[in-house]
Amino acid sequence: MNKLSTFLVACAFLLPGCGQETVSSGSPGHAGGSSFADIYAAAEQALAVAEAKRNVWSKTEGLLRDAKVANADGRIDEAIALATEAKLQAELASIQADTEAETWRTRVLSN
Amino acid sequence: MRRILIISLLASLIGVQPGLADDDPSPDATTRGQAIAFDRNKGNCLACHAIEGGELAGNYGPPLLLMKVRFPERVDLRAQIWDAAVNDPATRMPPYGRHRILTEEEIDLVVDFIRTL
Amino acid sequence: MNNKILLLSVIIGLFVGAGATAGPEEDRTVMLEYYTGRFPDVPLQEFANGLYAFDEIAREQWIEMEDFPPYEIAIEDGQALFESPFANGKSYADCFDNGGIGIRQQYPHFDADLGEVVTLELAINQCRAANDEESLPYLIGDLAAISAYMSYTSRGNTINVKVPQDNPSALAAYESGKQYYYTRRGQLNFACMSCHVQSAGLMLRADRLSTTLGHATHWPVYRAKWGEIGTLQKRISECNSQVFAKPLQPQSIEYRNLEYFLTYMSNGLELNGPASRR
Repeated sequence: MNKLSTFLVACAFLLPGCGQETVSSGSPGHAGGSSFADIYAAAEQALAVAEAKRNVWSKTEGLLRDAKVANADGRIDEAIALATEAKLQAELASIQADTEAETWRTRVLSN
Repeated sequence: MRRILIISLLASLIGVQPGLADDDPSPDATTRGQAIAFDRNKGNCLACHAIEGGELAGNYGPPLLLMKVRFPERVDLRAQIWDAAVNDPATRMPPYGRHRILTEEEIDLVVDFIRTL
Repeated sequence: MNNKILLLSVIIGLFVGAGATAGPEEDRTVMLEYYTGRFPDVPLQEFANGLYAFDEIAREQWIEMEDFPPYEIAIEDGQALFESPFANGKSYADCFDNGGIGIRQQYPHFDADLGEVVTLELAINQCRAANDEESLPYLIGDLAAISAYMSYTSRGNTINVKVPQDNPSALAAYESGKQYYYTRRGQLNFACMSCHVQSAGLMLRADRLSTTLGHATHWPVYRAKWGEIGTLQKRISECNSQVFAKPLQPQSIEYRNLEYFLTYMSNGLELNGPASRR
């Protein structure tokens, strides 16, 4: 326990951001070394999965378009943040579709 | 114990531990929180809840009154906004945090505002 | 196995079993009883008027609006379009039963040869395709006007959507529409039923939520908010957008199946389209 908590405390004080690998929502500009192209491709992939499940959220594609524009304008941190957000939304939409594939039945009106 | 410590340390690192937040928000924070709560493209809370100072409110959900009585702990109100389905799977309230409808910072500001009601 | 988990799975099993075995007619009866229980003072046919069945103030404004029906031009335009021949000399009347007059209650139906649900709007474009004419856009414009005219000639006819018991594909299409109706979607995480069953009659901002019973009787609709006449699937797309879900293609399989389910739920009500809504 001591070793681990020392590590975490060190994390907090010395390396802001190092604990963020545990959640996928990175802060703008922080992407564990991934390039914009990698994140953008991962977001497109996640979007394709959600599309196949016929469950895309309405803002996701716009975020991805904005990410592309930001990247072209050289606003790299913003571009990465937007693409990351699009990827997370697409993943959540897929999770929603998977969960709902069964739980919708619990909502059906019955006697 | 060990697990709880790790979780709370991790949570404080990524800033999702509202219990540790200052419970005496600045007037600026509550004003910004109100703006987010009333914005149709953000919280849009008035779509469902009557709120003092807001117009054309719906009654889809209960009026937001006596919020510190209903939610004595800030953390519980924040959890309700973040994902109301945890307490009630049949809830119709959108999961503002879980579905990333608002950012964590925006949720904190909305909580600041709602706690003044 | 943990007892609680066992109990939970038994309960879920009961739900799943109930959802799977109840047929369309049982579904319709349960929904009918739900709404007549919630709105005991509303006569059955009144549900065809949507929220105006139980919102007195909105009803008065609506009746005033109906003094000069804003959909009247669409009926006239639709009739002209309906009666003008295609390049090959044929017309819409040649594609439909009874020359296309007074037949809206037949739609949507399950086309056994196609293996899909056919809505009236799809049938209008099928007719055009069969006569080498280009498809019309589905949500507004000429197709909505033709649909409005065909609804007008069908006013007073009783909705009688059928799910043929001897066709498993038809039942599957109905079930898929039912699943769509009860499935939460969009970033805001709403199902159709979240608003139109659980919250029917309540206010969302300044708008009162209508009941699913009666949702399919009165299309197309001139909506003040739109400033034009639009089809049922335009409204479904709008519902999707309102819960932050990307709308599907108009007349996609999912939307047609949903329309099949929705219209079945209004079986027994009289058609009263086109209509006006705020």
